[in-house]
Amino acid sequence: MWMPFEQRWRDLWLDAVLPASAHVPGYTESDTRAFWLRYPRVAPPLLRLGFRIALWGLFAGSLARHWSGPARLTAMQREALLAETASSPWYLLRQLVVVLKLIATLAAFTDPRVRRAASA
Amino acid sequence: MIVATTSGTDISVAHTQTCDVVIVGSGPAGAAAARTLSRAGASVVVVEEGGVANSGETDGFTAMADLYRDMGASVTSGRAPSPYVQGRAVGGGSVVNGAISWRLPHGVHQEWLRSDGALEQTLDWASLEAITTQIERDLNIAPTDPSLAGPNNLLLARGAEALGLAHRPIARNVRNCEGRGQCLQGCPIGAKMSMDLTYLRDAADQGARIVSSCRAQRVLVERGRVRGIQAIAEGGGQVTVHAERVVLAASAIQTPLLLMDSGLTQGPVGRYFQCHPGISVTGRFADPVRMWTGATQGHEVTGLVSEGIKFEALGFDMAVLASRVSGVGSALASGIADFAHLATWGAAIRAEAHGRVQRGWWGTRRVRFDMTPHDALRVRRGVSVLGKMLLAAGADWVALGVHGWPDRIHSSQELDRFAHEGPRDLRAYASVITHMFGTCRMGSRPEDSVVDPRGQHHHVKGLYVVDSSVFPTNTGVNPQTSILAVATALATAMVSS
Repeated sequence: MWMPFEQRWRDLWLDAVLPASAHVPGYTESDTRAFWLRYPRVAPPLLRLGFRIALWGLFAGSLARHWSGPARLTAMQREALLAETASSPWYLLRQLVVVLKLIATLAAFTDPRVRRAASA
Repeated sequence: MIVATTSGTDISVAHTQTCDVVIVGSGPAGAAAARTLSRAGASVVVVEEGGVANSGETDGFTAMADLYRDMGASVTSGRAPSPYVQGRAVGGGSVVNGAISWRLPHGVHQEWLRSDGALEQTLDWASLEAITTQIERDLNIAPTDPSLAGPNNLLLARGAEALGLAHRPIARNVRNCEGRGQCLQGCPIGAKMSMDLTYLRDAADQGARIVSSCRAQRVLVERGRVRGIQAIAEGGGQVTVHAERVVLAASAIQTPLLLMDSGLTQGPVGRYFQCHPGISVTGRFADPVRMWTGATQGHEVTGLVSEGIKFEALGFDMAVLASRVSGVGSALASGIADFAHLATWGAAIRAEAHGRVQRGWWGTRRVRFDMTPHDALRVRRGVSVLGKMLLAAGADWVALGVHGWPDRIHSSQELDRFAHEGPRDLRAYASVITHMFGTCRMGSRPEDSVVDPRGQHHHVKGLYVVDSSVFPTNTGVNPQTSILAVATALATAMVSS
């Protein structure tokens, strides 16, 4: 179960991971409802835990860097924080972004429009 | 036609069956054993944890959720945790693999015999070769037709040729393949000769019963003799299968865990875990590649197999491929927009390291695995050669996916530098483990093996293991055909005893 604020973080970070490009819809533009309906039933506990840790870890990073939570950052600030985390010397921090990328792409690519656009 | 099964989702009350042999697991090992034993007249029940794979188009998430254990996100513990991928469906890994077929290499067989000459009783070379020839006929194993190869495979051939490395079309178990590039999601048109369409169906035609969506929990043993198994159906019903013989074919991870859960911890059960860690490199070509067209894995480079490195073209689902594009945010989005021009190739490493499978806290599955420094050098060399092949094939740039190295490398000189100065710390690489072995290894000495050369447990009469957990070592090549051959040989020996 997601708390409302976690759901907000989730959508903000996944949008930051996978924004729209000129030809391919991003996470926010994709229809991910089917994914989120199935996710709680099929995702293994370790993945669910890792995803939550990633959200809270980035929340902590956002506080440490900007003194505010992710909702108050600009899209550019969120992307910069993600890029910084992805190239961190700390292995476990880098894995937070790996988990977010996996979830963002799995969710977005359940939308046939995204698959069509990406394969064009 | 897919084999008919009794689905555990429909079993909600306690249910008991009796048969001659109950087999746990319906992947290549279980299917080969079921076919051999049912043909010999035994009444056979196969219990499979996964469900039936429905053919038809599917997206990556649905395939991962329905056909893979833990959605493909199981992870080893150790210094550099790595995902390990296992199928979980009727037909096991054969439903979601690339249909790649290799005979057991003769050198590997010799290694096995050097470690324990008694293995020759059941695994003599001539018999294994004869069984393998029959398997190749049964499953229509043949080199990939060049007309199905698609640009991704043809470019790999070009890159290997330019570097002077031996290469060839991959021999695959397919019939009427249309090159849809979706082997790893389960073939949408049923062209892959996976076990659910072949050996399990043969077994069912001989009377074998297959119970899907039903997880074995323990082996029942009385006074040193096996009595059957207990399982739990997805519908909630407890399933008990009484049998004079139990055959475990649940994989090199689940088989030792099932033995441990049954209190059968004698010998090195769960130890000597071996595998093939894989790494991949992506290149960008000026002309479209469209990795999702053509045979999923249609070409391989064999020139470094003797060094323990084998290269293959890869064909992930788009969602998985997207998650492996370098960068986040706008960099990731622009990488995905350029998708059609990317080619990803992989290297499978014959790791010398041994790991261990055991129960962790709260009954979790724990697979401890750390590669050796020598393995790390092979990984680094694999990445470097993959990059060079991509550039030699005409890639504008390559993305190594190695922490601390540039996102894009444009020259062979940079790759030479990487070959010498690239990291030896495996946490810098994104490896994925496939092909697992050795956790119930076979041998004549109970102190360093779990089953005897006929596959029978050293301490429990009537209990057999026939999957890759009995292999004394990893094989260095794709193991499906070797698993089928060894399981058939052990089941044949069981019939004759």
